Amino acid sequence: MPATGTLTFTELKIFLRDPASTIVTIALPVAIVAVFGAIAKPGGEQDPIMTYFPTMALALGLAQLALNLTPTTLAGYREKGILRRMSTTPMNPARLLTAQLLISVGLAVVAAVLVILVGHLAFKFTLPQNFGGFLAAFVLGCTALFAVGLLVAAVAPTARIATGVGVGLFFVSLVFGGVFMPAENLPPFIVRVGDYTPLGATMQSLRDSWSGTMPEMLHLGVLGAYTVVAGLAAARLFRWE
Amino acid sequence: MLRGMSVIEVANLHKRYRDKIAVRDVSFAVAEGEIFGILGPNGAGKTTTVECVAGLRVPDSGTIRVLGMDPRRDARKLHTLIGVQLQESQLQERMKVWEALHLYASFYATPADWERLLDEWGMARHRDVAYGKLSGGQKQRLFIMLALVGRPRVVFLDELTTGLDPQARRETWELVERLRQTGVTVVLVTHFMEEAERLCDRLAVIDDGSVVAIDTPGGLVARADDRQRIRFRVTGPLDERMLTAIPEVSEVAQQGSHVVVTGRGDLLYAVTAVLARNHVVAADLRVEQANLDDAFVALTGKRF
Repeated sequence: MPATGTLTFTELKIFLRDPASTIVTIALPVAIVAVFGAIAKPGGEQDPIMTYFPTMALALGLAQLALNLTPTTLAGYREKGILRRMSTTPMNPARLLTAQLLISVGLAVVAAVLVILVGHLAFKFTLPQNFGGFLAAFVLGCTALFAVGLLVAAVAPTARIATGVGVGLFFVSLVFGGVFMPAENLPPFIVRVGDYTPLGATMQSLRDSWSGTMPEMLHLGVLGAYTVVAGLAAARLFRWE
Repeated sequence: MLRGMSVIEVANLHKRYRDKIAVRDVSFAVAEGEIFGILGPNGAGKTTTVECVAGLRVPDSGTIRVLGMDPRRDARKLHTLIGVQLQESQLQERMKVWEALHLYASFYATPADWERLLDEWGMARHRDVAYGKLSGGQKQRLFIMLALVGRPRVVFLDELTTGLDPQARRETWELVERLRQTGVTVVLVTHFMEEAERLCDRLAVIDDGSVVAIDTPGGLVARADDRQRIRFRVTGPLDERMLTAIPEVSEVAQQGSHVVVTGRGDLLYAVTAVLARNHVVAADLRVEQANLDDAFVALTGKRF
């Protein structure tokens, strides 16, 4: 196996060895859709609230991966000198970041597929009605959130601070993004702010596409902007030691 | 004198951080196959020097050649030929010993057989243990193996035994001695006198960013202080003059029944011969010689 493959596979094994991260990113979203499926009994109903539960499960898992686990892991790799050790070998330590992102995005996809299938097959939640819009929302949501997570990892001096900042962003995003509570139940001011946060834009885009409309250009634009700005900033500012 | 066979050449290396000069005008050469020590107190500039040599830092000025290459410009190529154990560098807590070796072996085109490394370094029993569960000594063993898995020609070991208990430290020393037999060149950074004295063929003493001396451990000690002190006890009275008459002796002092003779050269033989000839029985005889600690004090004018 080429070195990058071995690196990615080893990192994946290590990730899955930590029960907490696997539970939070895969089991929790599936459990959420199952619990709310059992309570709300969607039965194929088109009520907008029925798009809230599966998208909330997806957004929660994605936010955990991007804002919580990624900054903690990467800042920890820097703090522990893992990146430095690797930079003394022929392997470029940037590949370690790539491997981590590949794994996280892979897990996000697995979680999304499980949430959609379990929700649809077991509880009759509808499938995303505008599938192209859903893909766009999911892909841009991933890139925007991981870019922000990488930026936190890039500038946080220690893993502890990265975790703190990540968790802070995570909870603020949940509230403003209409994940903690559906946007229709939030004060308009909070929704307005949420439109411009990566998680809020992701959440609203996912819900729009789930109910069959194309996500708003505002939201996709916001996600694109976060991807480019935070991504470039992370790449420029990343401290290797 | 090392020309033609030196694998590392450092000339006039300078490196300053924002407000502090870390390394000033450091020069040394390391010969193929030797264990070369870089010794000095914490903050002396040892690690900065080694990091520049290994291509991890850019020096402000000076030239560095490792195996004939520039560590920055030829970093890619050089990293296939060196192995580095950095100070305070960890691994992923949940990574198993064999996974680390397998992973690091995959970085090189022609790696060592890591299964054999496991056997050779007595870690085969721990191959499935996660890094976070290893003892300090076992972690160091793993780090040495990771530095060796690419079959390097030069190995850098930075503060290998810091934080280890005395038992684990001695075991690690034995491992480094074993490296000598493999013919690999070792650059050993340490602030332990005893470690440098025991392991290194030659060493550079660094203090406050500058090289104070480069020599063999024995040479450094002799250069600093070649005086010896012999201490013994006599039962009867002793005529000091029979000792002061010996050419090697520079000083004789009596403290009660104890006699302390200071001198140079083959002092022990000269003194015991005179005592025997005069039928004086010397009890509790001890010879005290300067060690690297004394040498460091003499070279830098301060305690380590």
